[in-house]
Amino acid sequence: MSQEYMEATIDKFILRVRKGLRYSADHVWVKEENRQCVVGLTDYAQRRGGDIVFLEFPSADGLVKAGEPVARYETIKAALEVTAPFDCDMVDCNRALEEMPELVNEDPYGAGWVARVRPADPESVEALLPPERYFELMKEEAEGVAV
Amino acid sequence: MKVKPKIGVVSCSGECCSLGTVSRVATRMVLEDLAFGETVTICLPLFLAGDSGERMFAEKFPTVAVDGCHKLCAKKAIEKYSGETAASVDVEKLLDSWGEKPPASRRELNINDQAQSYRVAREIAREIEAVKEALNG
Amino acid sequence: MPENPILIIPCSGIGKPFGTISRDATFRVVDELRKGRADTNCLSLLVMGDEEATRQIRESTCIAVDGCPLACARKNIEIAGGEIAAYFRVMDLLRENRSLRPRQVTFLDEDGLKLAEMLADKIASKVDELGGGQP
Repeated sequence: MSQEYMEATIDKFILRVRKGLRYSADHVWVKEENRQCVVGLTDYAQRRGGDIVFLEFPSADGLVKAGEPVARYETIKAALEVTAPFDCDMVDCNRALEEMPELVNEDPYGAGWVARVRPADPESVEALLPPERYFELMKEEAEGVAV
Repeated sequence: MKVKPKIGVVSCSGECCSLGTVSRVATRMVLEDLAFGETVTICLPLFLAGDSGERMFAEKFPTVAVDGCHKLCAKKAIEKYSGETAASVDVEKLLDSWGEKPPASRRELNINDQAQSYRVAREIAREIEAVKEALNG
Repeated sequence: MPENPILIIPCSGIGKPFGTISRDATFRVVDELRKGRADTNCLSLLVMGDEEATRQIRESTCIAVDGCPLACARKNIEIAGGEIAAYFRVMDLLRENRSLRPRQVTFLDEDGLKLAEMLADKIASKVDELGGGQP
């Protein structure tokens, strides 16, 4: 277990949950920066979805409600969404992902960040899952055990 | 993804002849059908390029090597980078023992070639069973 | 051996349709479209240091065909001491053909075969451009 991540090994896959972030049950990580948040897909979500071939942003600004997409992406398996973990305003999005969506697969907690948002309610971040709880949730799901 | 320890199967990539195609297809048949849920494929190109997940799995869990020919690339690669294989299948030798020729095409397998691949898959599955029995003591 | 031999090395990744597509496209080129002007060899032979394969890679102009961004063919050719003159990636072709959804790995489905055919045409053109097999 590294200082930066909690790790779970499932078959040949090492699934990482980054410490110091908060998480939604929809497998989105959230990093608070001043009064804004950077969001992205967790390592588990990118692994489960597969290689991302396309990624697009429905809107670069405006209000996004909790559960609505901040980004849509496609793998060869499915069309999926990165959903807003809380009501928020879009501030910025990682345009590099439109040309290189594989960044999400390669570096989901770093260069593969998806969007920058401003939560409508500053308290909403604290309401999300701490890394330890998300780690357990992820393991249960990955191991095929009902939560 | 299930948590119970699985057996790794690594197949040669074998572009040089159709035996590589048989090896690959037979391994996939094991993964998808004959030993579904019990095996993990170790991608040999990824393994050779140094992917830590593939090498780590082969170090920790029993691995069956499936090689198209006598050069035994998959078996040697596992032994070089991760450790002894639990079992090894040499498709060229197998076909020889059955008095069968490899497919004419390395790209397309006709119905007889597919049946041959399935027969090879059953041999791989037999090796996997033997490894499981040995593990369970 | 023809002058300026072209060696096409696919990734042949076994876990995704991309690997099967890279392999299929390579065979189409070396066995059909540019037969006698391009060749292929086992990636694993190259990396495991097989003498004949190592000689071949150093004497040939190499084209790497990868399935996905993990780039196993490219990495392994470089490990084996080869130089890559051209590079193709199945995922890039998929991005140009958004309606195609190859799903099958063992035997390619219709979308997989279409992609393999398109990729083979691109590789064949590159073989011509690199002067493959020309005196």
